[in-house]
Amino acid sequence: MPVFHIDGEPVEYEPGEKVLSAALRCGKIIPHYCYHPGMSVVATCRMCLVDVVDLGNGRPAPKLQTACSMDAAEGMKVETLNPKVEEGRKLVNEFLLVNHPLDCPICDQSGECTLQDYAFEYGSGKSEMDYSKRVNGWRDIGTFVALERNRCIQCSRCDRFTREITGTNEFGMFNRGHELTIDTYADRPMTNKFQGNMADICPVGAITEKEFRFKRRVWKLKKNRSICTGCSTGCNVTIEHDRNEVFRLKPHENQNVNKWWLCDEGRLTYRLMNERKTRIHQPLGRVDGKLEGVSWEEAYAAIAERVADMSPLPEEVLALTDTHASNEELFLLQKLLKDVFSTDNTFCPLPKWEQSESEFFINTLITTDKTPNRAGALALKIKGDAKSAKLKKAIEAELKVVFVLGNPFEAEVEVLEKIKKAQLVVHLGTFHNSWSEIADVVLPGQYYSEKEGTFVNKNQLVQATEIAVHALRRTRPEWRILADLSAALGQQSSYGSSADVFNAMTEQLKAFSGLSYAEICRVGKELRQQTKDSGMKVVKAQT
Amino acid sequence: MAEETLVLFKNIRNPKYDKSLAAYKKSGGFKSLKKVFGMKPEEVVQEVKESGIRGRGGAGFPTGLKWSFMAKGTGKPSYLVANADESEPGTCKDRELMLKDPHMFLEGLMIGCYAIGCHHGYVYVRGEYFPSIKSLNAAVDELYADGLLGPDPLGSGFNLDITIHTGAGAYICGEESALLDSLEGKRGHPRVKPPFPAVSGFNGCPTSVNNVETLACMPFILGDNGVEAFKSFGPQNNSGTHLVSLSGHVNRPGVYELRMDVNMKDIIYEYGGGIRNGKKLKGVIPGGSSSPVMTADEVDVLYNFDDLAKKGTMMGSAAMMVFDEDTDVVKLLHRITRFYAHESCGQCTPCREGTHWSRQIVRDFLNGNGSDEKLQRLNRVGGNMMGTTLCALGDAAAMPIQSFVKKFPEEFRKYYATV
Amino acid sequence: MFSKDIQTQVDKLLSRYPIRQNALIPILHLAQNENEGWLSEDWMQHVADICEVPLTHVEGVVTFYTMFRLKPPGKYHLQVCTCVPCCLVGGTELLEHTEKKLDIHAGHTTDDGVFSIEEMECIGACSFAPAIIVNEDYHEQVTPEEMDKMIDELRQ
Repeated sequence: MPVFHIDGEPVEYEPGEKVLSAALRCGKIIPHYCYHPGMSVVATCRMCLVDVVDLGNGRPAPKLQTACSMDAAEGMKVETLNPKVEEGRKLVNEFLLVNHPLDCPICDQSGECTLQDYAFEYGSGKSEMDYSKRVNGWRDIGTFVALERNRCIQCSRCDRFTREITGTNEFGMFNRGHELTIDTYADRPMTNKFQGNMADICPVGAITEKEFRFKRRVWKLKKNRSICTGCSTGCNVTIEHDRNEVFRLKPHENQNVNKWWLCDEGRLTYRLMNERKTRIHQPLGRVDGKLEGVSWEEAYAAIAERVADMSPLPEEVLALTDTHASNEELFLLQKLLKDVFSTDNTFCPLPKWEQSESEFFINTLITTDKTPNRAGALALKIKGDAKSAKLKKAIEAELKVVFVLGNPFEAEVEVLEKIKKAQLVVHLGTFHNSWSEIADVVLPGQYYSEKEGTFVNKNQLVQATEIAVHALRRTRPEWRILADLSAALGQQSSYGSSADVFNAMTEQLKAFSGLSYAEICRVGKELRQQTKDSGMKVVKAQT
Repeated sequence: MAEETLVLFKNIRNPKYDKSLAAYKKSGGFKSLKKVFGMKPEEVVQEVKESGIRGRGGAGFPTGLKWSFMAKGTGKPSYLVANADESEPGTCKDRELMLKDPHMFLEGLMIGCYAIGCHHGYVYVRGEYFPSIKSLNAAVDELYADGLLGPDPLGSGFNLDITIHTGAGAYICGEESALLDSLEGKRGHPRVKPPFPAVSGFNGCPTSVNNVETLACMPFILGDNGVEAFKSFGPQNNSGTHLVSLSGHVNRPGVYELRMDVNMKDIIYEYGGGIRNGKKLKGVIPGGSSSPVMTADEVDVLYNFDDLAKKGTMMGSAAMMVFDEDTDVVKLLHRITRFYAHESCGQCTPCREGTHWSRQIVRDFLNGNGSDEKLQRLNRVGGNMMGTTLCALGDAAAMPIQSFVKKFPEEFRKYYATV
Repeated sequence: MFSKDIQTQVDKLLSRYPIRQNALIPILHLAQNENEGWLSEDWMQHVADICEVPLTHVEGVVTFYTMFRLKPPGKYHLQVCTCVPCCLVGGTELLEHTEKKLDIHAGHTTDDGVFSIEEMECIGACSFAPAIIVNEDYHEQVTPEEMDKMIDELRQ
């Protein structure tokens, strides 16, 4: 690859690439506001001014150039640390602070604000402006975000976002010069489903998420990488939390899955991470018709005893799971039924779903399949079909033992009624639902933010969650519950962690062969053998 | 009164000229176009290059060179857009051509279209120029009726259309890339360059934007012996006659067609009739409000691109504004900063904030709150807009501020010095 | 929404440009003239539909250019230039005089809706200053007395 020099160091670039893009890729810091790798170059903030001492032809550029709009060239020499560039950055910073309000003490962006960072790093530290600032006030611009007009530095990222990324054209630039405003017009609120991204790309606290406003200072937040479990796209996220309370999800850049974006629906999944009232807090056993708290040992012992009494035949046992379960959970559930009961009757719902097609990539992020692991269930050959015909046939039998993982078939009342008649119903779940109502034993699992697990997204990419917050004290991750349950029923195993389970899967299943857990945690990898999903339909996105 | 050198104003200065197509043809019009249709386009560009004509819109860039930059073989149509946005304060010359001899300009536009292979030329006229727009539209109608525009002008087979396009009130649309954005039906925001209009201009096609007066020179240049004659009107690299818009405190303000080797003193005292009311000269803004101001003792210089550049200022659009000894220079600067603050498009940081802030500082002086420190600050803020902006409006706003502070510091001090 | 004659002009304009959007500004002028000198939301939407651009785009364009008005002007819109050359020869005084005569400030309309005043940046009549535009007509080298006379005549 061709090379040019920044501050004496060689930097590789792709032909046609801009100086700023190449510099950022190599870890060189050039301050900027309006540049964004996903959107067009406008070169209006002027913060990325650099000194091109050699254009590649032996001659210097006549004045400072914006790195975001300058094509890199062989032999080019760029300087970013000399006094001219320092002056340039200082003056741009001064101009921006002429009208920017001193809102840091009350502004959410404080701590992750590039204007703040650059003012500290490159600014003069003193204001010479003693006239009134331009005032425009707060505006309600959408269902998910709010706009503090005073703080806007007119970088136009939000304007380009609704034009180039979502294609909804809800934002625009109005008036000109000193009065230039960038927002919706005539108080028309935005309705696109990706407004949270505008708060992400806004370099200052002009656009903020309504959900997060005033809740926590960002420097108190701990960040853990994870996967959004709101739908089968599996956007990469960071879970941001403090003292075990999750405050928000932010997208993590992954060019293969979600690029830089996350939909608003996905962002709101953080609420369930904090939900406590409807969580199952401890193991429960039905005594005299009522569910009472029991210990894990009691629960396992009770199940083992009853199974030994019944000695069920294979066709008298089945398991139901939803596709929210991770690969490890599905694998172990299947294994439990196979090894202990010699049946492969594990069922999950597989309704038809739609994938949007659109000239705007971001519209393809939202699918109608609101579960994160449908592809994993298909890869593991969990039984199921669009009308649940196979399941309905299997439940005609006299059922003795039924395991239910999560909340599958919640709307199917007839299924519930049939399962209710089984002699032993064991529910593994995180939230109380209609299954825990009818179960004989309820075993409390953990939510995504509390456990590790791998999921396969709609494009056959295997990705992993990371533990972000502490789980409820008396809950256990489902993989461990299933392994312990298997052991209580006579099938010992030696899994010490979720990774061990995954490794076993890579050894025993062709689809997962050759995958490394460490790599999956870093970046998603495709399944070796991919199952075609006949339930998917591609539809044109409606703007 | 001193004499003008009539090339562009040849017909306009004739009191019997009625600007009709018939009258234009009678005075020799469209002979050059006929000659041009018999030449190869590259030959036309070469002649224009040799004439040395430089853009009359303000930048003074050699026109022939500009046309030679047009990208070829792109598979896209080429466009020639005439810049009739004339909004630089002090400039009122293009309107004279459009109002009183539209055909000379239109013939020049047609010559340019042929030279760069453009079959549809546009004229971007500022929206406030209602009389010029009417005049141009009537002239274009005459040309279509005559067959000079349409499928086969003068039997050349080179189909040619012209559309008169109106602006809507924005000085920044005089900047060529902002003009193209405006022509495309958008806000007039100057574009990031590269790519330059010669490669990607109107709707992404190769485009050349040229001033009205520059194009109006083409019939003469492409006429018999035109190149040599054109060069003879001025010193080397400053060929041709040009239209000078003289305004301000002179006895005879007006638009004069002069050679490029006339002394500024003569323009003020001979053509302009000297300072009105018997006052003394204090200073001149030589080339539109964007040019650095000159004091009275600096006006002994030939009025052309290079001689003025050597003096640290610029000829720009040849709009000379003369002010006398009674003029409040600080108030004048305030009006200038107010203009740039109003016209800034607002895209880039230094211009958006700097034009408004510098105006606030000058107003502070007028309100009696001046100081040496503030004067330095004004100079610094003005200077910070120089060379840091996306387009030349930042430089245009910076130059008057810095030159006024440098040349008339005691005028500012009058506002706050108590001793 | 356009009257028949103007619709013909609109159609002609659309045919003169390679892309419909290019004709936006000339068509907005026609729309403004149809609507008594200003652009309402309905008209902006209508032009947006004709030129096949989003409404926010049209609103952005309308708020950018000074000639597009979002509220009705007076029957006679007096556009007085006070820029550098006019300012040197009495343009500012002419504006103040007009404001006093009509008892309104620039940017406003008289109560009877007959006159409105707008302060202009350079209108390109510098050598013939002070200059004003009344609706679409230029008047040059205007003295305060001539301004008074013109206002009185227009009022009839």
